[in-house]
Amino acid sequence: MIKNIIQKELAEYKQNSHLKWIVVFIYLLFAVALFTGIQYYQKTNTGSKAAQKASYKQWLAQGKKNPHSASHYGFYAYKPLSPLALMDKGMEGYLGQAVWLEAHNQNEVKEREADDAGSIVRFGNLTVAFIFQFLLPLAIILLGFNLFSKEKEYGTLPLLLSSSASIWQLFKGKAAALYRLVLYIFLPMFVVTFISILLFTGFAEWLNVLPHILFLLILYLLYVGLWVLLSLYISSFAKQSSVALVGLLAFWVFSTFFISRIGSVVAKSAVPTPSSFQFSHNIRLDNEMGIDRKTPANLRQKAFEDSLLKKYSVDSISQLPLNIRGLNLQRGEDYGYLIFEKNYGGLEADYLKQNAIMNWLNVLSPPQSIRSISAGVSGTDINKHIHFAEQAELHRRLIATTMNDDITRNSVGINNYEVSPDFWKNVPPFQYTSPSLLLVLPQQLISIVSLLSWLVILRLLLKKRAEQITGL
Amino acid sequence: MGMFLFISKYEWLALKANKMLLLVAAVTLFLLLFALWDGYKRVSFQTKTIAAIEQQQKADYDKYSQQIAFAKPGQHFDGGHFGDPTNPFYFGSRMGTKYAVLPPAPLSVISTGQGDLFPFYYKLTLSKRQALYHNGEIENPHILYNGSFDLSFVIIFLFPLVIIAFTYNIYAAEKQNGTLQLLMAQNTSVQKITAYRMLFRYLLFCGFTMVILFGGLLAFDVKVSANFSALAQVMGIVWLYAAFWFAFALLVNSVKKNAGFNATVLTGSWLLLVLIIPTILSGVVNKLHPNCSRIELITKTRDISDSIATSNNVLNRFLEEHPEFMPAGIVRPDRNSLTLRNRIEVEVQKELLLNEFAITTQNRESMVNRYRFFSPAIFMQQLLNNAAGTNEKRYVDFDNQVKKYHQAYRNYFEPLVYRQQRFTAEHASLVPNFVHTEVNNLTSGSNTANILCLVFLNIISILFALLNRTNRLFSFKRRR
Repeated sequence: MIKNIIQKELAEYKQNSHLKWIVVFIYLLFAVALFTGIQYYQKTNTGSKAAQKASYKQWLAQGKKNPHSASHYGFYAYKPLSPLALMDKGMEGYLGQAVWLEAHNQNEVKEREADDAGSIVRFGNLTVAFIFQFLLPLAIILLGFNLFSKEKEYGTLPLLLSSSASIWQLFKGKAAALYRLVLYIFLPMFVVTFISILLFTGFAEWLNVLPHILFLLILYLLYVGLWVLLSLYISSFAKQSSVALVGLLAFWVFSTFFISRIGSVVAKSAVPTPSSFQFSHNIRLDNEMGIDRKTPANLRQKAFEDSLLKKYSVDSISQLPLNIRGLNLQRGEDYGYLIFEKNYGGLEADYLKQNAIMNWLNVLSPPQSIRSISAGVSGTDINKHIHFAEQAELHRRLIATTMNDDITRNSVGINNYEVSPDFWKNVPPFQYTSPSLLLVLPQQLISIVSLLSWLVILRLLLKKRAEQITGL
Repeated sequence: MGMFLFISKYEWLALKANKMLLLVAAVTLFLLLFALWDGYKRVSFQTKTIAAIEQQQKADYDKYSQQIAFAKPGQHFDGGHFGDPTNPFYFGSRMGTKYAVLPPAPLSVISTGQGDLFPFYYKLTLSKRQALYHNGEIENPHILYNGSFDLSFVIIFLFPLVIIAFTYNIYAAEKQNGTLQLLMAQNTSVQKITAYRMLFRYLLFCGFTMVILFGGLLAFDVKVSANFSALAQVMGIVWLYAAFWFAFALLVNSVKKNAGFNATVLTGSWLLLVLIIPTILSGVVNKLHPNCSRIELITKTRDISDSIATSNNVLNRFLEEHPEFMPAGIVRPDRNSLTLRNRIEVEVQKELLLNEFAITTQNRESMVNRYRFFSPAIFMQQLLNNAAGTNEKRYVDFDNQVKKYHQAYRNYFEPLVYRQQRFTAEHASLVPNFVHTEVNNLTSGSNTANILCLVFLNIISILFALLNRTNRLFSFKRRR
C-alpha cells in the first residue's frame, strides 16, 4: 500500500512544473557555490602553507644572535584551512589566520579576512553548506507544503482512504515519496562535493576527513527527513495549502535568520566580554601588581632571587652557577603564562558560555543547529580556532624555554652572548594537528541532540495527528 | 481623494476586526524596540570604553610626570631601564601611550555596519604605524558570524517580510471569502480599490513605524532635534524602501490569483533581492578584485625589516643628512636611536605594500557601488551605514587621521631620542593629543541614481498593477 502511495506521489511530482525550476535554481547556485569554495580553499591553503614555510625560513636565517633577541623575533604560526572549508566556510572569515609567537606576549590570532572584505559580505556567503542547510529546506517546503492539504482541497482524501489505506500509511507514503524526491536532488550535489574535496585537497587530506564527510552525510540525510516531516505535519493541519505554505515559510525565516541574531544579542547581554582596552589593561595590571594585586613586579623579583640564593646556598646573585638573566627571563615567562592563562582563558570561557547560550537557543531552529554542527565537524568554527591558538601558544612557550635555557646554562660570565645560526634548528617548525571527529562531536552535543529530538518529536506528532484525522 | 478616504475607512475597520493588524503592529513594535535597544547597548559600550581610555591616559601621564619630576640620576625603575620615564625612547614606546578615539556618530544606534570589525580606538606608541593594523576590538567570532540585530537588519531584512505578510493576500483573500464579486460590482475598478487599500496599508505601516522609531530614538538618548535633518533623510529612504515592497506586492497581487502563489513569489523575490543577489555580487567582487593577502604581507614586511636591520648605515646616513639631530657631546648614537630610525625606514617601505590594500579596497567598493542597483537591499545597507557613521568611509578617514597623528606623535619624540635628551615633565605635558574631525557621510552624488532607480521601479510596479485589466489575469470578468 505504501509503495502505491509513493508511486502516486512521485507521478504527481513529475507533472509539477515548479519542480524543474526549483532543481535548476538550486543546481545553478550549487555550481557557483562549489566553484567559489574550491577557489577559496586553494588560495587560502596555498597561501597559508607558503607563509608557514617562509616564516620558519626567516627564523632559521637569523644568523649569529643573542637567543633572547631571537625570542623577540619569533616566528608566525598560520592556521591551516580544513579541507571541508571547501564545502562549509563556517566562521573562517571572522577568525584570525596568523599569530605571532614572540617573547613575553601571548598574542591573539589575527588577520581576519572580513576586515578587508567590505560591508557586502555581511549579507552572507554562498557556500555549498548554505545551499544544503538553508535553500534545500526551502525547496522541500515548496514541494511539500500541500502534501496533505491538497487531498482535502481537491476532495481526494475520502477516495484515498477508501482504498483501505490508513491515514498513517498515507503519511508514511507521502513522506517517503517527498524524501526520495529530495534525495534525488541532494545526493548528486553531495557526491560532486565529495569528489571535489578529493580532487582539490589531495588524497591524504581527504582520507583524514573521510569520517567527517560520512558523518555530515548522515546528518544531512536526517536533516532533510526532518524538513519533510515538518512540511507534512503543517500540511496536515492546514485547511488550505496557502496557509500551510505561509506557516512553513514563516518558520523557515524565523529559524534561518531570526533566531541566530536574537541568540547573539542574548548571549552578549548575559555574558559581556571586556573591551580590547580593558583586556590589555588587565594584563598590564596583572604584570605590574601581580595577579592577586598584592605582589608587584619588584616583590616577585626579590622573592625569586632570594629563593635562588637559598637553593644554591650562595650569598649573592653573582655567585650563582647559572646566568641570572636567563633565569629571570624564564621566570618572567612562567609568570606571564599564568597571566595569559587567566586572561585568555577567561575570554575563551566567556566565548564558550556565549556559544552555549546560542546553541541552546538554536534548539528552536534546526537550520542553526545543523549550521553549528557542520562548522564544527568541518573545522571552521571557534572551537577549532581555540584549539589552534592553544597549540600555537605551546609552541611559543617552547621557543621561549629553549632560548632561555640556553642563556641560563651557557652564558655565565659572558658579555654580549650570541649563538651560532645552527642553534635556531633546536626549535622545530610549527605543525598543527586538527582534533579528531571524536573530540569534536561532544562539543556539538546540544545541537546533535536538538536535531534528533526534532525528528523524534515530529514523528510522534505525526503519529498522533494521524489518529486525529478522520478523513471526512 | 474622496474614494481613497472612503476605502481607507472600511479598510481600517476590516483590519481592526482582523487579528493580522494586531500581529503586524506587535511584531513591528518588538522588532524596532529590540533593535534600538541592541544599538543603544553597543553605543553605550563604546562611550564607556572611550571614557575609561581617556581616564587611564590622564592617570598614566599624571603618574609618570610625577615619577619624572622626582627621578634621581641612576635611579632604578620597575621594569629595569625599559621602565625609565626620563628616557624619551622608552617613554614614547611604553609609558607615554596615547590613544586616538573615534566617538560614536549621533545616529550610531541605527546600524552596527562595520563597527563590530573596525576599531574605534588605536593605541599609539613609537611602534611602526603598521602595528596599528593589528588592533581590533574583542568580539566572539560566532557573534560576528551571526550578525547583529540592529535597526538596519530589521529594515532591510525583516520589514519586507512583515510587508509581505501584511499584503500577500490583499486580493486573494477577497476571492477566498467570496467578496470579490461585490467589489467587482463597484464603480471603481478592482485594481484601483486594491491600490487604494495597499496605499492605506502603506501609510499605516510607515506612520506607525515612524512614531515608534522617533519615540524609540528619544527613549534611547539619541538627540533627535539636533539631528533632525539626518533623521528625516533616513526616514525618507526607509519610506521609499517600504514603498518598493508595497508596490511590488501590489504588482504580484494584480497578476496572480492564489494567495499561496503570491506568498511564494514575494518570498522568493525577497530571497533573491536580499540574499542571493548580494551574495552573488560579493562572490563576483571577490573574484574580480580579490582581497590582498595579509598573510603574504606578514612575510614581505618581515623580509623588509630583516634587510634594514642588517644594514648598519641607516642611522649613520640619517644623521649625516640631519646633523641637527646629532647628540651633543656624544660620539656614538645609541641603540634606541638605531631602533627608531630602522622602524621609520621599515615603515616607509611597508607603506608601498599597504597601498595595494587601499587600491583593492577602493576597487571593491567602486564595483559594489556600480552594481548595487540590482538589489535595493545593498543600497539600503550602504545608506543606513552612512547615516549611522559605521560605513567604511568613516573608518578609513579615521585611519588616515590616526596616521597623521602617529606621524606628529613620533615627530615629537624623534629629536629627543636622537639627541639622547633627558625627558622631562614639561616634555610629557607637551606630547600632542589626537583630535578627531568628523566627515560628512550622508550626502553622496551616487546615491541619487539609486534613489531614482527605486522611485522608477515603484512607479512601474504601480502603473502595471493599475493598468492590468486582461481577463486572463483575473478569474472574474467585471460585470457591466
